Amino acid sequence: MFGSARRSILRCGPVGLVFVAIGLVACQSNGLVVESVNDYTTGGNWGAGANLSNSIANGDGFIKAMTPSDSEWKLTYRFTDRNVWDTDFSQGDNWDALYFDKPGTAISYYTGHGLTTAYDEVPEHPGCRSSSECTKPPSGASPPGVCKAAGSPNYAPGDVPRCVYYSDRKLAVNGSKDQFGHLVNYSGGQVAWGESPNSGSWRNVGTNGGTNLVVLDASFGVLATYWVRQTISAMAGAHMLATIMPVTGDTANVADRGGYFAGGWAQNPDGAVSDAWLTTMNSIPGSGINGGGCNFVIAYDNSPDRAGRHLSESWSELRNDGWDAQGNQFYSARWLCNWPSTIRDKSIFELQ
Amino acid sequence: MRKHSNGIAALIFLASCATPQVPPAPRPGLIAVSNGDVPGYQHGGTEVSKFVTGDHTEWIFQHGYIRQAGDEGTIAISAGNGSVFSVPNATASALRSPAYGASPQDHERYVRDYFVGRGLPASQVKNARTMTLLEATGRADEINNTIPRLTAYYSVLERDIDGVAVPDSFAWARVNTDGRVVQEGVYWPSLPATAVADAMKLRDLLARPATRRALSARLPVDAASGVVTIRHSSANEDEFEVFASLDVAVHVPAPSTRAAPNYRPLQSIAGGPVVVRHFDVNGQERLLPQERLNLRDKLPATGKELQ
Repeated sequence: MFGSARRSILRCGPVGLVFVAIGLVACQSNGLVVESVNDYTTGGNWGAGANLSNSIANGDGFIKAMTPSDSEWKLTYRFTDRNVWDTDFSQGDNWDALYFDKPGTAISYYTGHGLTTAYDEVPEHPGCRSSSECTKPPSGASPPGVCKAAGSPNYAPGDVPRCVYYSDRKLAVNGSKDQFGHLVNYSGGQVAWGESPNSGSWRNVGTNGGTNLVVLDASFGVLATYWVRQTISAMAGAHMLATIMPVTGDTANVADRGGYFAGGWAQNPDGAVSDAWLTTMNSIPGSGINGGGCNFVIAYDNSPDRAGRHLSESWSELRNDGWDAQGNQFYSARWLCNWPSTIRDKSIFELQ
Repeated sequence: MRKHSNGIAALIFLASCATPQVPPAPRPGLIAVSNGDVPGYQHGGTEVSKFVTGDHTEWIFQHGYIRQAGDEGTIAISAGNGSVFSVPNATASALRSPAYGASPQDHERYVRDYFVGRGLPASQVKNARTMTLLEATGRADEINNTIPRLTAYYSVLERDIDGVAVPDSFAWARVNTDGRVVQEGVYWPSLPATAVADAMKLRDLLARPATRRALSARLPVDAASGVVTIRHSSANEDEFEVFASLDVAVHVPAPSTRAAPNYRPLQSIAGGPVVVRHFDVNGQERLLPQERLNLRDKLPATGKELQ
């Protein structure tokens, strides 16, 4: 009934929306910040051949689908290539509050490279049967070691089980005014997204942020099975973080993931934002991952109910700053993985 | 006076509420063609779909979609290209039901039969791939106790014309235990005969060593792993383009080097993202409309560009 009433209100057009907005304007965010990088060679910061070709089209596809003439969203920033600075994302000196985490932002969308970091044992340790065998982290990585499941039916295709280890996840950018070596470490404290007067300052970074959803459309967004450790410190009030978890392959740099994600809003504003991200996989040629992998969404809050509720947020609820996360004691996560499985426990990702 | 003002306000409000005219939805079923073109399939609203929109269902035209929206969810038909997405409301009861069947294969068969039974040409279905939805909740400091719960399957039908893949077409669905469709997406446009003929020509060129060498020599990438496909605009695009393509997946080296002194490649992951490049029968590189998109000249500068 509520959905029907809301549709009638939305159908009323701008004047009708004004009536609704009067009651909600104090606690609604509708801004979009999109940062897209194709150019990784200008400036000589990265190796030759690192350029991507679809990030800008991907980010622009998201913008285009979110901002038709009758949209309730507004584009706050669209930065590309050399204008994507590592400081945009970083908490230090509250840089992020100017751009990626600007108050009033509903969705912050990054599309570009993720850095390749230490993960595999050196030399490789394929064919493990249990995580107890994984005790030798490579340089740049740390315990706990995990025997990552792969290869046989029910598991991610295209590889065999291997010992893997934890490392911080980082975005790689190529900004003209970078301060952090062109890297955004979102696992190790460099970023804190979504802190606001509604979330409170539990993350000890003030309350001057504001984004409600962070999308990291990049290589190796999180890696099995370190999804909590690799994301928890980034969250300071944001409702959700959506990314990609390659298991035996890597993210494909495609032009239509952003558009398909935003299409979920245009098709049904009462639908779940998390499902819209997860199901982009079904419409993108080849699922958008080269090999086995999952689209992934995680939410944190101070109770299991609140964490779980974020994953059921509609697009309208995503704008509601009253739902900013008030802690990170509990998480709720969803994966849509591009292979069929009947496994109903943790062993789908880890052989214990 | 106050009563009068309220009356005017009410009139303005009601005027703004006039229902925008909802254009007619395309007729569901097989998209018939002539002149050797390849038929497509048009999905539709509740008259053909097993998706449940729920009570208070009404037609709306919004954000470019002809929407049949109810208390449980919406069937949205693109006015621009006919693609159909049925999306449950975030709290729809169907989301709480278990997956259909005893195995992913059961789910896959059901989804195939469902779409073929409504007119999707069976001869164009190469195979299906099934995705697994998992969910977990817990204390963030007890991650080792995480037990992901299998929530649902999504089965995606893959299109194929005479052995040539059409990767931009799709028909996918999530079905729950009682056979109701929880979510679905369909874009299966008709295709011109010329695209198929070009694909066959491309396949012939690649089958003969001399012509394969000649074509490969014109390409800026190693075409050894190339696959002949028919590519078309994504369901996000209203402008329809289609062409035969030699699709070549190119690994882009993941960033490394001096900015990342601890760089070590991920041996178990094919390092770096993949970009698929398209080459036509003349060896010319082609871009799909969604790949050409760049809003640089259509949007005002928003900050740093001005610095």
